[in-house]
Amino acid sequence: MIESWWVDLLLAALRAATPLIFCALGILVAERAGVLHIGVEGVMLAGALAAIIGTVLGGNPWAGMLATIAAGIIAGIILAFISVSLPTNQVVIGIAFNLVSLGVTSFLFRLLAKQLQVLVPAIPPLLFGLSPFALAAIVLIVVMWWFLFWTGPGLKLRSVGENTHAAHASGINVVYVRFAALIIASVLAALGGAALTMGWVRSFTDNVTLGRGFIALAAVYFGRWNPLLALSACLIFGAGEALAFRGQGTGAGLNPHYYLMLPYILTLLVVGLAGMARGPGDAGKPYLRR
Amino acid sequence: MAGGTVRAAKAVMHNKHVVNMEAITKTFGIVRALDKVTFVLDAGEIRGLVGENGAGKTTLMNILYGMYQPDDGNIRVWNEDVSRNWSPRLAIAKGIGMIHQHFSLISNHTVLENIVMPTLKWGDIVPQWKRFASQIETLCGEYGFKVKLHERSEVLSVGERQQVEILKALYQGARVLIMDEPTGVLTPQQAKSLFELLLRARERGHSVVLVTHKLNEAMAISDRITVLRGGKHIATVEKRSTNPQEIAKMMVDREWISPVMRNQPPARPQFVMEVDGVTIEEKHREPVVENISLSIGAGEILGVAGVAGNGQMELAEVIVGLKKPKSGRIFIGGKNVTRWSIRNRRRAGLGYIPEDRHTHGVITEMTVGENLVLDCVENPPYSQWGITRPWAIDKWAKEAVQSYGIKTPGINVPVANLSGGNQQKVVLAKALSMNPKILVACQPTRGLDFSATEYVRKKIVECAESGVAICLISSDLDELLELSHRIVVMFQGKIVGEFSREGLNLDQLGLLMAGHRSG
Amino acid sequence: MLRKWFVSIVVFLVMTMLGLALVGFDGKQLEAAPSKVRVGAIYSIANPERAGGWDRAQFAGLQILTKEYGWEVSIAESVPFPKLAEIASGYADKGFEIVVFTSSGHYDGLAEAAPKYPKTNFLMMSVASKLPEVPNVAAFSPDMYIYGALVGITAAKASKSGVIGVVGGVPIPALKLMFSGIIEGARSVRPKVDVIVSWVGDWVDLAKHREVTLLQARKGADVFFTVTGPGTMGVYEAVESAKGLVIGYAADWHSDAPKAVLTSVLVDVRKMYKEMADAFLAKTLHRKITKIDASYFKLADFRGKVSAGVEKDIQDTINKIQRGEITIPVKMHPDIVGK
Ligand SMILES: Nc1ncnc2c1ncn2[C@@H]1O[C@H](COP(=O)(O)OP(=O)(O)OP(=O)(O)O)[C@@H](O)[C@H]1O
Ligand SMILES: [Mg+2]
Repeated sequence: MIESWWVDLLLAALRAATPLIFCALGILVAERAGVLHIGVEGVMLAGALAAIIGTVLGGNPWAGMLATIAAGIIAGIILAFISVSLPTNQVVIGIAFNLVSLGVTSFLFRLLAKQLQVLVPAIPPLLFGLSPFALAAIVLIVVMWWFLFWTGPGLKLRSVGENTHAAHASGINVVYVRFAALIIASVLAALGGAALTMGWVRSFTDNVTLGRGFIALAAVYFGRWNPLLALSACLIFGAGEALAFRGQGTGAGLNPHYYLMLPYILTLLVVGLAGMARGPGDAGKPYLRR
Repeated sequence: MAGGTVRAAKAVMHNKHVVNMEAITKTFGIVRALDKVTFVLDAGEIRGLVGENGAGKTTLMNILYGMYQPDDGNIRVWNEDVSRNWSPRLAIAKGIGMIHQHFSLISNHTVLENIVMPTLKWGDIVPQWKRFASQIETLCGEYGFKVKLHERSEVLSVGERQQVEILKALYQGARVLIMDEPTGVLTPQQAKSLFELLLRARERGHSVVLVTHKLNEAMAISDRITVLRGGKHIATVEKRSTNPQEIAKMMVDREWISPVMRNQPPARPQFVMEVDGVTIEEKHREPVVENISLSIGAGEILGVAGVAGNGQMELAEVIVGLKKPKSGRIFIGGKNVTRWSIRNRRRAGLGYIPEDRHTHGVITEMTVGENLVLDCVENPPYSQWGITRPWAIDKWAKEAVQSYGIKTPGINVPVANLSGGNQQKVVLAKALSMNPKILVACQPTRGLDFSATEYVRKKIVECAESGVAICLISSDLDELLELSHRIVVMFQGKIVGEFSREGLNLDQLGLLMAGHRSG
Repeated sequence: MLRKWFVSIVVFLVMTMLGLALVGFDGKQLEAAPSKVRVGAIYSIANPERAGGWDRAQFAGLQILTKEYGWEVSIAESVPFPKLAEIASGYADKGFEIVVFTSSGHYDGLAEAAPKYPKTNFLMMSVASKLPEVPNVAAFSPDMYIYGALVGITAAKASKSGVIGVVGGVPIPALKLMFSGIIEGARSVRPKVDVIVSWVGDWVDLAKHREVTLLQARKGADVFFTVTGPGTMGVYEAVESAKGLVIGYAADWHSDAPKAVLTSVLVDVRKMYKEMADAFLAKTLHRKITKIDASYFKLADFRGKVSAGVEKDIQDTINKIQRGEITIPVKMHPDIVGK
């Protein structure tokens, strides 16, 4: 009660936004390299479960982090192999991956249900009541922005996403870059899952991500593939969620459904306002070398 | 740049083969684009590479640059076997630079970024943009280029884009320059300075491959000329011992008759299109087109001359509705269409052959057939009650492929798989099939071989004879002189002169294009 | 082009099938002793053994049928509502004697299937206010109001701050009834008590459950109660983080969050299921709604979370209610849902 209502709201918004930010980072890397990352939801889910399994079986949060990163790399390799090396339709493969991930994680969770039905130890806040995940997310957003728009490799990555033909003509191996980008993207998305389970709710259930990956997609599109704008979109969504619950307690006597719709209405509004954003030129196009 | 090393290299490499491609074969699906082609390039030579549309010129050069992997054959560069794992990255490292027929600039990136990007390494975390910019500026000074380094390359005209492409190759330190139809978009003056540049490059020991359809160009500056036909190497001849007629014969296996098709202007033209005081402004900048008024009568061909980038492209885009003018009005058949949508203008009989076929002309992922009916698919006979009738579309597409001589394995092939010239033919067939009353044609024969050029010009004249008003925007003076009844000259967004066919004064035309006001 | 699409489609099909096969991991058999009575139980959630309170409690009840009666029990999980009648008919077709529906939301499925299979008993083991007009149906319907009252009494007596947090998934009638019971029960022993009721909007989102609960803790709540789906752990996490205590619903939740669980108000499923089984064996399982009243509810071990005095006080009050010495009049609180 000492902290003001506003600080509390902001912290809640940031908590809700943290997993989204990690996913948004992943989506940014992938789509800037020209691969649509529809499978982000599935990767996030895999990371969410891996974090809990790692923490419970390994006995400490570091094991959880390791498991998450491993899950991200594996998911990235699978996605990259199918959508970059083969290559097939990126949207189809993303949707299929989400379904498979839902199935596999539910199955594994069932197998290990007895051990996993616990709360993993809380990760203490690092600074100003912010969890290490939230801090890392914000730092990474700034780093990503700097990387994409101010560094050489960032420029090359964006070139692959904008125009594969030109990138190839400039001596870039488009397949390698996309492959690597998808792996990095998937590790980031998996960390988003870990931020949700390990860093926030401390347990797992079937489909625990509940479309947060897709909300991150919306945030990236609203943010016109710019990390800083995507961050603000994630925060808007987080604030919507935080406000929704605070609305209930005000005694206005409205049906809670109205408040609970708030985040979704906000997302719609935000996406609507973003209008026809144009993504990287060659995003979504499979690349085949002749 | 690496001038010193090049000069040193010249001494050693003199008269050595820079590039040695042997028995290169490449097939795309069922199309055999190259069949055991051998191509040898010496240091310090300018090589003309000629052939009809679809002969395999671009494919051969793409293989040399590592863009495509050959199915068979050997590549040696500087006497080193590079057949294995050859890629653009290695080609750049070996000093090969290529300016593609369809430019490979990234439209969202700035000119500076485009030029520098290929030389950046994955570890270049903090690129020295200032240093790069000044290096490029030095280079620009050396070769007499003017480019705006911090402009997004999207807004550049085609001519400017080409300069950027050349700069890119030079900046990479290219000693072999491959130019795929570079002059298609240039004015005669620009082409001349390009050739001077190439000659200068040759003096420094660079080698140049010049892919072109214009035999006089090939004859003008190349040392030797290689002719491809149907994917086969026909001959490589010394320039001194040949003539255009001979080469043309090798290209098409028939004699070349230079076309003369002066059509008669309509007696008393009835104006079907009028442009009245149109001004176009780019965002926060000076007008690119200023207070232009034109009128074109039925059956008349109005030529618009001018160095690329003087507002012709914008003028065309305003007429077809791709851009909104700041002020001024446009009339079609007496109706004010200034506020009409592109679609409605099309319905009113406006046809358009765009300059940049990839952005406005065709959708490269779609098939030839789909592209051909793109604009009229909602009308009978291609669909009825909103449902398409594939057989009608197929039938028409097959006819168009036949009559326009589009070289394609079939109508279900994506346009991206066609050679550059054949893509242009698709654009043309598409525009003319609408039976327009007014035709805005921008560089309609750019990239076409001479038989196709001849065909297109004949088509345009036929159109005019059947009463179509034609606005012909071209930087090819020969084309303008051959086809137009009247010619207006644009310079810096203004019309600076107008000639009727009778009163044509070539010298004055050239001066006006270069910005010298008469009188 | 062709190859690309072909590969896409094949990959998509295979992965989808794999995914669906794993998601719809249903039809799990409990250790079945050979016996002639066979029971089919239908859940709309996955993994009832570890799920929320009521489902978990029923799972324990079903196990009593196998362990003590030697019956064969087959469980269908994750059955979507439109498929209920189909699955129930499937059991009846295979000659199952009893089909158990585990949620009040399953009523329509029961009403559709029961008339078609007069030889099979269709049971609603959840809140029911009516039954279809056929003889082969019965219901064991817990009195949610009195259950809530017991929770309210326990919470009010255990709370130090006098603020109780109640979190519901989605405002369905059974929960409105129960939460009204909590308010009345709490007020009956502590008139000034403040009961905060919040709704999450779904049954599953851990994060939202957590945030809602945390907000209640910020408002001073120190004893909590929740009825929801898989989102329950989110509530427990928040309670543990805020160093509060939570009362478990229907089954004993101690092992899920040892630090946070005060106690659980258990439902005596053993008694409930034994009554059902005995009635079946005695062929007296008639069309009837059996009310599961206060006598079926009892407290789980407090494990020292409150002082012995408080614990005894709570236990005494509840005993009085069970003996009918205290009654909590039914009073609904529609305002907990708003307009
Ligand atoms: N990417 C591709 N996929 C399939 N077929 C192709 C591809 N590129 C070229 N071809 C085919 O290979 C043949 C040679 O094409 P190429 O582009 O080399 O011709 P070109 O000599 O450059 O012609 P133009 O003067 O029209 O540019 C053509 O028949 C063309 O259809
Ligand atoms: Mg070509």
